[in-house]
Amino acid sequence: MAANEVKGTKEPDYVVIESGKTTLRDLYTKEDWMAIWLGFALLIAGLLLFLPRPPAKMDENLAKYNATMKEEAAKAPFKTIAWNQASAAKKGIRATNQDFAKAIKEYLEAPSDWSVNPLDALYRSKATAEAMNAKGEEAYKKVKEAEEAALAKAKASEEAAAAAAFKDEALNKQAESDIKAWLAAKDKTSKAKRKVSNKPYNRFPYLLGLAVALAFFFGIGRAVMGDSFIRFFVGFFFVFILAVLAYMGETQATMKHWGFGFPLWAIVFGMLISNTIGTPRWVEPAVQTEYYIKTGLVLLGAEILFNKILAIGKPGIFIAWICTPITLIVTYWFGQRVLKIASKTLNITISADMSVCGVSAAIATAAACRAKKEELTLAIGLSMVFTAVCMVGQPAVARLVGMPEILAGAWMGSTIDSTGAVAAAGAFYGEKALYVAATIKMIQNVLIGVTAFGVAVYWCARVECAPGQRVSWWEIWYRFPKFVIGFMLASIFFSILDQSMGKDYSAVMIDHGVLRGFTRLAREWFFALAFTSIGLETNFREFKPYFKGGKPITLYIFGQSLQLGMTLLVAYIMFYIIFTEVTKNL
Amino acid sequence: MFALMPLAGYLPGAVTMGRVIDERDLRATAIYYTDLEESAEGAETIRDSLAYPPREMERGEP
Repeated sequence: MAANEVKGTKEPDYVVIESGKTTLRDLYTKEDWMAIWLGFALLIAGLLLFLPRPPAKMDENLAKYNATMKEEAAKAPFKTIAWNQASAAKKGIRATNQDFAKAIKEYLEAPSDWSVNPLDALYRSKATAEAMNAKGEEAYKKVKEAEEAALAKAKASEEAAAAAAFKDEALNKQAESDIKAWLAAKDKTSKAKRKVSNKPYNRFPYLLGLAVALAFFFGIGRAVMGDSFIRFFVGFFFVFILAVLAYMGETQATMKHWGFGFPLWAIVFGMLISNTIGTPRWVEPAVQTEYYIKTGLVLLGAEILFNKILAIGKPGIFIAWICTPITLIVTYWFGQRVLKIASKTLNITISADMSVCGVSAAIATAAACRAKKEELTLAIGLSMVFTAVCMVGQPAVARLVGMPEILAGAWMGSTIDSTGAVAAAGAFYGEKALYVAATIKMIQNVLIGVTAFGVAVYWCARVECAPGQRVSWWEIWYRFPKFVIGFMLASIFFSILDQSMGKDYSAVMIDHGVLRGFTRLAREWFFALAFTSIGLETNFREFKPYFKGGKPITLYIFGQSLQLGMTLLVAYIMFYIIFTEVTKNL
Repeated sequence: MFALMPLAGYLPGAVTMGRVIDERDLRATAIYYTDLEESAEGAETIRDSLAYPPREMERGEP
């Protein structure tokens, strides 16, 4: 993102400078390339840590559970108890469940949840943990007994249906209904179990270790680029402490309920300092928004697995990959032609944030088109407010009109910006709605890669040009944000790896191994550092021009309304008219 | 903000939403699918449901 000052003129924000040249020195002196090397180093470390250590008997167990589901599916016209048990057991096979992965997580994990005392996020004594567990023990015993009773009833019903060779429809329906009741009881047990599984922790030494490790990691990169390692190292701890506080803002109970995550708090806390006492001079060398964000985006690239778009079959592709780009393009067009928003980068950042998937899309798009930090901040702020409203409002509307779970899940999954809020809204509506919503959002998340790449190319080739100017391929290459290459290469490599391993193996070793067990945790820290840096270098007054005429809010409301209507229509057509077979089996 | 936000709990639906988030230990602030366990659970449940769908009732069955 450009760190230049806000332009209050009607001139194009960026004009081509036809003097581009690139040298081999760029590979170790330019931030974009350094972000690629640092990101790749972590991805390689993740692969080396996880791939040689699959869970014991992984292949054997996966084959066993798949065989059980196949056998049970052929036996009965409903999902039997054994089918559900095999599916649940399969989900329990994760590379992240191993001891070494738990140790990595302990080092990289963000502060924990708290309600009243912020220190609870960093320290919990053994006595407190035991008291918390004792509090939930009775409720846990109760739901556990209810689950056992529900299982016994489901077993009896299934045996009765089996005795009639599964040819008696009434018995089949009874068995299916009792199995659903057992699954609901099982879900309650699992929720209650969390309340008796509290463990003591002391996060201070881990956070200190992480701060030192990250200061070295990024400091070495700065030193290679020609900056002072020592000055960066010293200032980094201040930025890191603010990032920890931002995480603590997120994990506070009420803020968590409303989906106000660390990006917002990092910016708020950073701005509180920069606009009151001022960012201390000794901290400035470590205030490196682009450096952190680009490295985080290279890691995010690995999480963009293209095979995920088939997760819910063809309806998912139509809903997430047809409605979303249409909304993005129409909203951007509306912003330029109707609202006449002066900054194209602000327009595309808000459009991508609103139509694709909130904060993560805003970060990737803003970096790809070199939007200003205030523009990214504004897009994220708008997204968080609208997300909080939609998270509560959409399930309420769906319930009011009696929307079926799958339709409601698809609608909420594609239209609520933030991934976490989608899951919350889905869970509010029901189990099936949750799974459909989270899966549709996952498919939409993958669009970030295409969006960022498309925006980067479009900006270099068309937007950053003088009117009527033709830009050579060499010029496009020169101006292309190079970190996007690392972002795309990481995505392509991990997508190929994911495809070649097979879905089950990849779910265990890549998704629940390298990604969720290592690089995702690092990526989140990098984004927290980036947003803290944004706050530390932003002046409140720089926002003033952007609020003129309330155009960003109008843009957001237009795009969101379009997406709400179009997605509902397309989801209905896909799930209830064209691909009814998929709907029936979900 | 920390002082004002609890007042929003009086909005209809907000309390239930808070309870759902707590009960499931959902990370409502997740910014990407990998930040959320439910997206993996959902995708895997759907994958199993589509890969191993229960057989249809045979013809002639009531």
